[in-house]
Amino acid sequence: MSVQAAPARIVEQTVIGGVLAKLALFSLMLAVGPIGTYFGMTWYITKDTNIAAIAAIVVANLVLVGYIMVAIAEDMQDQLQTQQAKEKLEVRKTQ
Amino acid sequence: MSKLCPPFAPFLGFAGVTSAVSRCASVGAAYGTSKAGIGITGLGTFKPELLMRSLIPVVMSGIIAVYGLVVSVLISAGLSPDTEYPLYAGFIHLAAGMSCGFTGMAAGYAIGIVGDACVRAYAYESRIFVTMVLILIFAEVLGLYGLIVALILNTRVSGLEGICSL
Repeated sequence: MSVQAAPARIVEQTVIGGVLAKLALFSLMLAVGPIGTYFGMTWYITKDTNIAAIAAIVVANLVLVGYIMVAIAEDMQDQLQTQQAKEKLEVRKTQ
Repeated sequence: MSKLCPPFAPFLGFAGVTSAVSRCASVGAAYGTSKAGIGITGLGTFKPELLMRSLIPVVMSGIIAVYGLVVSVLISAGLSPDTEYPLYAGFIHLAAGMSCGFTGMAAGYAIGIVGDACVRAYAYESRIFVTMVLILIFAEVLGLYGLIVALILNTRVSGLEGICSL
């Protein structure tokens, strides 16, 4: 039983370490990014508020796309590590 | 005060500001976050390594709230006591706020229900991830359409100088 659980445990330990930091970073970016873009554009770049609103929405969606990409990359890293751990166990079994 | 610029016109403008943020942000995003959160905590009890991916519905509900916030900031930038404010502008701002608010409520509702169901299914079948993201994106563009309508309405407010003295 522990032989099968070893890959899951390795994956779990590496994954849980960085999750909280990533989540905090993305929450901060979602809170600050769009509204900061809006006010930055209205103060420094253009007086037209509609352009600033469009830029704020684009930034919000970019944060979302970034989050999805990080989540997918984590998924692929998980699969790779599970694969490697399984191969190591196979090698150890045949020895 | 002329008939075109009654003193109660800013009431409608501020009502638009409030409805954008309180309906989009508080109702829509709160429902989406809470309903998806129920599924995510259920998933987290036996598969904690899937947490980062299963939090996508919550992030999308946050984006709905940001839409409401941006629209209300945008509308409130057009309200001030020293410029004239016709009743027409009041109605436009009310319509903009309400269109963003109600579509945000609908989008948050959809994100909550879809997020809950898909996250529970993701615990058993990992290929459902792509389907979940696609459905959530379609649910979120509902809020985006309301935001686009609010922006288009807001551009109609400019160019009304001198209307109060007509």
